[in-house]
Amino acid sequence: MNTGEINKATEDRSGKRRATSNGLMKSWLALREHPLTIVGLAIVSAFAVVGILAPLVIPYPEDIGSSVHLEQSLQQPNQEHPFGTDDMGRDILSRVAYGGRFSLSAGLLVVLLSSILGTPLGAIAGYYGGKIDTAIMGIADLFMGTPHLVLALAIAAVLGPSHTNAAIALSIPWWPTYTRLVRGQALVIRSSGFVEAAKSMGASGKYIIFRHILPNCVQLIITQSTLQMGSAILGIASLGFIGMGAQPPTPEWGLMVSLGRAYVTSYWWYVTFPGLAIFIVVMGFNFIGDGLRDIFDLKLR
Amino acid sequence: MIQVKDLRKYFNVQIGILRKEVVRAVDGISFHIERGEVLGLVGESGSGKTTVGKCILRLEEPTSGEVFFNDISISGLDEKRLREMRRNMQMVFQDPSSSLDPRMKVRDAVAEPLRIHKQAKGKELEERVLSLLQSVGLGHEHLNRHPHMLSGGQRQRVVIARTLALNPKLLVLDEPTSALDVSVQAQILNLLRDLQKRLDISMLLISHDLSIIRHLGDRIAVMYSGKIVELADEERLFDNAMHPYTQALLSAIPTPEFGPKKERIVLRGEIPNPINPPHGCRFHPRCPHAMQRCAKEEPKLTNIDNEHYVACFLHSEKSQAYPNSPLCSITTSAA
Amino acid sequence: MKDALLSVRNLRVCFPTTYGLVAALDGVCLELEKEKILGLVGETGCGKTLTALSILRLLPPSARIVAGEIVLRKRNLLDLSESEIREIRGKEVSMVFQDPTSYLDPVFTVGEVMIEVLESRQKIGRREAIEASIEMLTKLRLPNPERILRLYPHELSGGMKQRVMIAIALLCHPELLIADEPTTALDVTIQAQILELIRDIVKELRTSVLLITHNLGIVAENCEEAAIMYAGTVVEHGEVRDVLEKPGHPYTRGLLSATPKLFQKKETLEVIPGSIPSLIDPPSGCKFHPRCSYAIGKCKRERPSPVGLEHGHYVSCFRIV
Repeated sequence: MNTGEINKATEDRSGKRRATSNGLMKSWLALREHPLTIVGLAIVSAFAVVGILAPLVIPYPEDIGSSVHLEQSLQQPNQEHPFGTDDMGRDILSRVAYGGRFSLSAGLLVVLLSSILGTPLGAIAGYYGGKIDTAIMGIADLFMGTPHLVLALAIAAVLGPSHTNAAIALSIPWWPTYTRLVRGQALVIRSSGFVEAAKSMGASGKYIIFRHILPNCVQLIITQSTLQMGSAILGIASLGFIGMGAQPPTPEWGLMVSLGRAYVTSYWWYVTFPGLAIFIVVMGFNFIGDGLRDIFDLKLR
Repeated sequence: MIQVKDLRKYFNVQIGILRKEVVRAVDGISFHIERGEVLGLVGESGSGKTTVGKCILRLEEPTSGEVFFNDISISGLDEKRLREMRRNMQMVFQDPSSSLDPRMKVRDAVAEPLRIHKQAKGKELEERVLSLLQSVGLGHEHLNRHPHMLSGGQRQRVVIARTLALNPKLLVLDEPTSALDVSVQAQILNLLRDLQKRLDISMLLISHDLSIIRHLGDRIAVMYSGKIVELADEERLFDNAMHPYTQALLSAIPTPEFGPKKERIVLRGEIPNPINPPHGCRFHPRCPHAMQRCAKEEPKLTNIDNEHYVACFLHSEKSQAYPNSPLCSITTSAA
Repeated sequence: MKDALLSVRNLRVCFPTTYGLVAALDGVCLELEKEKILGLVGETGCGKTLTALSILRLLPPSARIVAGEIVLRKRNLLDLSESEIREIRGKEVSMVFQDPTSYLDPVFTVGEVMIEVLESRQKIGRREAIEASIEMLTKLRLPNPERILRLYPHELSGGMKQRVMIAIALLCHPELLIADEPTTALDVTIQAQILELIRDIVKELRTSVLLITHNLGIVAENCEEAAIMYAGTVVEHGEVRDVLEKPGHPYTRGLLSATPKLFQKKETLEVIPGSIPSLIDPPSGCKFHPRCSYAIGKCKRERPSPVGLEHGHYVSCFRIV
């Protein structure tokens, strides 16, 4: 065996090990060490699947709208209605299951809008620094200084109460979170060796931001988004609760909790099940988000 | 081919709330590098050697002084022309791990300079990338790997392949092997030597390790506290180092050779503070041969013997200052 | 046998990983004589730092010492309880690390650290502790030691910090000083100062030193004995001039040829082909065989045991030339 072959043989052996043990395999191994994340993933998937398939799966499809069965109103959880019925006699289980659509889609919209708005601003602020940075972060601070729900409420009021408007309203106070996060990362990456190398090759600022900074922020953004989903869903539910989100008869969870308030002392199921749904989904996202952070670290190692 | 004239780089640092100080990282350096030549720049921390490398590529803007590439002044170029000029000069940095974007595959990393300068696309790009990888001893199996799947030596090879993409005329290497193990270092040094000869590239090799500079360098410049204290051919420097600092450096470098008896010179004192360097000759507080004059005047870099330059009063009785250096006022006017 | 202060016999240390149990140290054997300086040399991942940490039982919690003995003057350190080994640390065996900045707590002054060590380990009063500290700092040629006692680590240069670390380690006059790459983070001229200092002090205090480094030059110039490590084992061991001038093991020979020399210019450096083996899937038999130009069939099947050459020079190889 000559030198070249020996070189290739021994280096490749270790390289191949590194290569095959990468990607899916490492993710799976990392996941195994984070059982809570698996739980979170299960919860979220369950709600998502149910939400998507809802009309085909729920026992009383007509109840998700404005059907009225007063003779069945406010029944305790029983065999025909495992979650009980509401004041209009509608099956709460069906409505909760269907309601997942609204919460999840709205949460997704909030997260998407705020990340799309906030991320590029953060990259620009972090990379260029100086006056641009001060200006962008100044505006971001303004938004961050205002209580989020209050601001969202004001915007929702201007836009008019609806589910989509609530989502848009919520994304506005939240873009600074992404900006701050991405700016921090951009500051770190800007002084890294490979950016210096790119500059020495003649790369422009735009190139560096698109090719080096943003791709290196993806993992951070995904983790943040996942955690943000939980808050977004809570926010949507809060706006719905106040009446600034989806309007009756939409089976949105926050709205259901709000309507159920009047009956909470004697008819506990009306408030409890939608409330539980909110709680469980938000927790699920938080589990995922926490685990993702660790898993991404391991993947890079 | 590369000409550096009286290069200075000063940094402003904030010390405390009200105090601003000036760090004189590079304080009046002049040298040149011929085509196809390897100039070794050796010094310890605070010598300014890394800053010199960066100033040549204008990764740091010099405070004053000029850098010429083939008689064109780099210092005056605007953004656009500078970017084009960057194709001629590339840099290999110290730590191969941080020089590569962890999210980029090897093929993208090596293709990056070609993409930035829109030199090739599609199939042609693929072929050039592969041939670059092969010239550094890697192969197509490495194309799709990420840096963390490569060993330190392989990463440094990828970095070298990347710098060769645009066929640069000058390569600046800043401690290219100090992060690597001995056996890997030897592979990379051999590779660099081979590439340098084959492609006739000029190199500025920056390191604190005189033994690797000896291995690759044709001429060597020794820096101390922002100034060049000795500049000579590799053989002359090792046979007859004249500056006391160079002598101390040679004595200090540990080497597993038992033959020639090294005179053990152990310097007292610390590396000078770049904010407040000593008056006169910067080396005088630690110099075993310091004289009264050394504390008051700064010795100029003068040609003592056939292109062997030294900045030291022990030797300066001989004539002829270093050409083009504005530090040499008296002798040129006499000539 | 020789006058051995420290004997490491067949030390095996494993780590559990997602791929199973990995042997980071696979049968390390070392002998350190009294008042001698032994250089432990190897490249990254060979296990030299782990060996040092094992002596003081400072291994990370996931590490498992699977086999072997570490005998310090007739006592097996691996048998000691946690409180017993704590007694030994800092008093009979001390350690100095590579980067003084991370090993000196920034919130304590030099004096506070040194006095605390003396008061707790030697049970002496404060005034005596201060005197002893000043004496030790003077031995380490630090100017103005009274002033240094009042300084914080960030007010000292790299070389001074390392001297302070060494001073702290030597305060209780230990019998064994372990120095793990003590000068790697320092400039060359400062490195020369510190190494000379270490040589002089250990002679004066009659301390033995285990000097860990990857630099053969440092071993050549500062150590009396040398041990070369590769992939978790010691492949060669003997007096410095024997090991470095007449190396018996192909790896030692390879390392020497790969080191660029200061006093001769060679055209091309001879390179050891291949790279350091992965610990997860180590080569069978002799760990170096895939890269060895002398390897024969036996090398793949069996692990070589140390073979004695001249006095005290041992090589683990079937093909000693």
